Amino acid sequence: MSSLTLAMVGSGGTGVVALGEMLLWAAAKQGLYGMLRKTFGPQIRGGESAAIVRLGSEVVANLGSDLELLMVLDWNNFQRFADEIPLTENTVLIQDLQAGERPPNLPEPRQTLTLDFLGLAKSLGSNHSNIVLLAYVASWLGCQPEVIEAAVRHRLKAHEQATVELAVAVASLGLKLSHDQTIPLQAPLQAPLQAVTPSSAKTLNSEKLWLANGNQLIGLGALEAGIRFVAAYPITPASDVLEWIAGQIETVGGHLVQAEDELAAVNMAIGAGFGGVPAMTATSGPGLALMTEAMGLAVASETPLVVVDVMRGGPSTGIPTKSEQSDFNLAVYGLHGDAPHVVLSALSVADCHFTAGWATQIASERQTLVILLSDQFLGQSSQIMPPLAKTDFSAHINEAHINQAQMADESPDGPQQSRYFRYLDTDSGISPLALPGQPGGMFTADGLEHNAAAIPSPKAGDHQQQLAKRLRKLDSLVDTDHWAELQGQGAILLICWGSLYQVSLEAQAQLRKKGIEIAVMGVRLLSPLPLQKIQQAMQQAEKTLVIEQNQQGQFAHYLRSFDLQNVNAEPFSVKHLDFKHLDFKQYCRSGPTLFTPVEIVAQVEALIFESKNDEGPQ
Amino acid sequence: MKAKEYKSGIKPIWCPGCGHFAVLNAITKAFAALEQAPENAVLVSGIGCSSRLPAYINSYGFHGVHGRALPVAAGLKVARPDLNVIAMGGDGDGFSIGGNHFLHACRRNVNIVYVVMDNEVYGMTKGQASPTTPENWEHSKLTPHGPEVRPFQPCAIALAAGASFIARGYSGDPNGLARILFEAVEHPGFAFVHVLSQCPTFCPEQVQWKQSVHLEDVSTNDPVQAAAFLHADDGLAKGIFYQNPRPIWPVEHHTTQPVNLRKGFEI
Repeated sequence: MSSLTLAMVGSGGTGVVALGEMLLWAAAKQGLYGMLRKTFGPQIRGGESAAIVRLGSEVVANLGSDLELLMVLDWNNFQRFADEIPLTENTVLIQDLQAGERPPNLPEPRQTLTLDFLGLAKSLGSNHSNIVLLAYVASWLGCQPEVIEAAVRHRLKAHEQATVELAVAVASLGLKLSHDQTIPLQAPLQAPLQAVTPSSAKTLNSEKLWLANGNQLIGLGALEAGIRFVAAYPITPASDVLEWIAGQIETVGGHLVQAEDELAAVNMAIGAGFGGVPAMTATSGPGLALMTEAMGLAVASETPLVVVDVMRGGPSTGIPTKSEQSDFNLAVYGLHGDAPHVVLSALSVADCHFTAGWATQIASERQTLVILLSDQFLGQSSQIMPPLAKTDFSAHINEAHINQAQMADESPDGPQQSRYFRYLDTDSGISPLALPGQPGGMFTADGLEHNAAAIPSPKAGDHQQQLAKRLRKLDSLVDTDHWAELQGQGAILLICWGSLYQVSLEAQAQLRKKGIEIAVMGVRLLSPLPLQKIQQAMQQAEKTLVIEQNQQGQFAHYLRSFDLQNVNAEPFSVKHLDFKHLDFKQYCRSGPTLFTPVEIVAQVEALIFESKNDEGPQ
Repeated sequence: MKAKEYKSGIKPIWCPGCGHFAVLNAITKAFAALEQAPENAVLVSGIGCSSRLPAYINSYGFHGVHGRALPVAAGLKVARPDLNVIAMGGDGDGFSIGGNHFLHACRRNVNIVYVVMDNEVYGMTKGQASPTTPENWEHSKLTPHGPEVRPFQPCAIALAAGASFIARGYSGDPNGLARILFEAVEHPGFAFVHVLSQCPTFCPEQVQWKQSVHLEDVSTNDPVQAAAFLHADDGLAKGIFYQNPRPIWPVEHHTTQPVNLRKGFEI
């Protein structure tokens, strides 16, 4: 795939994020694919901001490794983004004449172009240097003038007519500038992009491309699968899951409640779930921590509940606006008591839709808690994609047929009073569920340990029975095909989860060009973990590398905690297991900087080099 | 159905003489008077002695975690407006750990009833001071000098927070309490029922309530008058104090249907 990565930097008011959004929109209209990452400082409004756009001839699902073009309207505060914007000696720099001094200690760009964007805007009485720059760059990319104008109009559609016309006039100055002053980047980057401009893009006529971020797609996946109640408490970067849903849920007959805190939000969702209305809440790390007590209640009372955690840098308030995979331990281990539950991870922006649907279905069919882990990168990066297929997921509940569930003879109240056994100990562990309003099914759902008849009980036998039942009902999940995405085969198996999967796929493609084949596994079902399947994949490779974006290697520790040598992996029998293959290396580091394909390639190559040295002396 | 048929048959864990027995009876009487279909009522509680009550009633119930009965009840009612949802619990559950939810339930005005069985003590954890314990109550090892903190004023706070129905009942008068509960269920919006429910185990002095409780059916719809009354209240008045219906939440909005959720993603 040919791609081009551009970054835009400015201080408050220069509108670089708007510039990125307009550029992505125009690219989409031209039939290109792309992705936009916005990055902000902590200020509520103004302050420094940056946008990174990667455009490509095929679907772009990560930001890649290199920055080809850096556009600076204002050098003020650039240093705050220096870690996230990988300026190299291959980068071409375009800066505004009035951008100020370039900070010292930056790599010397391959070429620098200094142009008077702000001066051009001011010549028409505008401050919108970002629109001059948009038109200039988009035109160089090959976007048609009418598409660029449409992007400006689309962006400003809520504004007054005079403002819009002035912006369009400002854009025309950028178009003119692109004829006079071309960007000194080599043709190989331009040609493939121009090759897929609308005249050649057939897809445009048949079905419209989508522009969506992961947070919105979690909302779509959840509503399509049947979520009809959402409780919300604002938190970055999860708020826009909730805000998107708030704008839609009434049209499908559901409700969103803004709660007074996360404790209320999760308990409201539990109340709705108890009432048989599929329910969800979404939060980020600190909110997830507050919700953990009630999540234990959902497990014990066997109430369907979906909790979305859009992970950010932690602990505590941490880095709210930036991405990290560091809530794994909290999601998997954070509940009090023995509380088996499901933890899923979304493997791409588009996969947020699929996995949210799956989470909704699992919560309903297994009557338990499902935590869906996304992260700030997936949640807040906008991506151009083909329209997503609808999934078959639905919030189906195993409703009780009361006559069958009545067991008069076994009623602890004596034979004269028959009773519905809400927590009946079935083979599957899933008990028929009566919903309020259903005659004969009355029971009190309880966080207190209870017996099969839902009567509170501290007896050892009841505790063991109910614990075993709640664990058993998750068993068959590991048999699903959705547990992971597995791509390719090779001597190295790369295991990752969440947003690292798409970056790993690009690393796989880069390695292939070097003649190295690897297998990439993106794990979607983090708990319960399909150990046999993981073991089987590890057996088929020589070496396994686990990567994740947290300092402690939380998933790697989790995987190591299982005695993989003693997991009986069909079709392999234990005696044929090569124990050497069941060890693995890990590469784990904190956020907020994103993993890059080049970074992963280097780790894989280091592992191969190490392997060769291991074999050397033999 | 007769009142006694609303009992589930499960034997309560409460101590002999506990006021909660009378509250249980009052709920069954109110249900009988309301001709409540048992399958359409849900009792939601938190944690504490009084929060065990839902299991003793022949209806649906939800016994959740400490302090969170109100959010569970609100979520259930918003999702299932067809149900009669009654949240309940004790003074520690409702005014201490769940205090924030109490304020917001009063102002949100979801159409539910909230019954707080107030015995001014944490009974289940063996007798610690609660938010409504008298300042000088020195019987807890945890606060040997007494709590030395002014007691929480549930009814006055409910009024300030926007509750649209405020009443107080007494476990020594189950018929009066049943009448209040009946009115609370009939009231459109959030109805707060404060119940003096004595704890003979940790606060035997509450036996005095029998002599001190007095009927004050103010039943005003004027918040200023209600405020004046509640600020002068000795805490032992019983009756319906304030009743002033206002729009319930959620407000139903007419939405255009059907809507293509996917349309907004198209470029």
